[in-house]
Amino acid sequence: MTIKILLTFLLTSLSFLGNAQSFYTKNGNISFYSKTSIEKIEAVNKKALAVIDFTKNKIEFSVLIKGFEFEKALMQEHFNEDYLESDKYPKTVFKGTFSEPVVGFNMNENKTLTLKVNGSLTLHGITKAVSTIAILQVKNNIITALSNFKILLSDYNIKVPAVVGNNISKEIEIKVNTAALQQMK
Amino acid sequence: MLSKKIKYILVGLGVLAIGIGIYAYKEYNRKPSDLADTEAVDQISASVIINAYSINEDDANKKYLGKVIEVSGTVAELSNQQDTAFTILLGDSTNSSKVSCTIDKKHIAAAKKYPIGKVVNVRGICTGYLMDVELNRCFIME
Repeated sequence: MTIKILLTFLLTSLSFLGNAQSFYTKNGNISFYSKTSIEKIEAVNKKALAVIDFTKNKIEFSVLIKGFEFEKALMQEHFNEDYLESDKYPKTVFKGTFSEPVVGFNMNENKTLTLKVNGSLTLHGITKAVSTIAILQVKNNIITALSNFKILLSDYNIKVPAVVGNNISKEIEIKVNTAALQQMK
Repeated sequence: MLSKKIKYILVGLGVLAIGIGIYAYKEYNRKPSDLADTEAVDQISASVIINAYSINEDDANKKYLGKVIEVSGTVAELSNQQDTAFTILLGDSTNSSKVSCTIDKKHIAAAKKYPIGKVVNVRGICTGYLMDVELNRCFIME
């Protein structure tokens, strides 16, 4: 019995220590851009789930495809129905690790960390390796995570009909701007 | 000299082309619809939809994903993100998952008058499930 209590206590305190270095937000901002000479398209999703765990050296994002908002309804419909097939593939997930561990991360210290992230992006049912640079800014106890990277539509088997082929870029720029990560309790 | 018949046909075709042009232009510039003017396909309580998603996400998606639905529940939390988005979370303390309703920009001012603890009906489009069941372009019904 005593061992059981001791073990429970140990596990609880261990998980507490682990959690102390985990941060998350349910309101991450992810946007993407397609620029061609004919048309500029952008869409934003303000409800990305982001988790950064310095203990496990991990960063993860989950984003709902139907949560991307476009200025024009027709673009949003084509994006969901034809290109990303969001009924079949409702989520996109990025799972990454920092190339170097962040030791002794302190929320109370204002600073900017530039970190290399290697990971995988699952989109439209296809998983591909993605490497990018992430910038973590800590200011007045608020963490902001910033990153930019580009993906090729062809890598994720996203097919654009020839008739609008010149309106949509083959390469899409993705911007991550995720503020106010909270400490996990 | 063109015959009268051909003239009428040409005028008719011209009118048709202009009509198609106007339709295409309007369609191209169409904005996402305001859900205040859209009928919901289903009415459900916050706890029922949260349960449905936590038990089987795929099954729940088949029922609700991309659909305009009306969810009733108690306001558990309010979240104002850098003044660019306003979210009302419906649910109760027994479940950490909530229904997260992102309010349509046009309806933010009206949505801000509902305090925590108030029971409301929200119409929105279900975009899926992360930690919460997500509803987009929401409008609080009186």
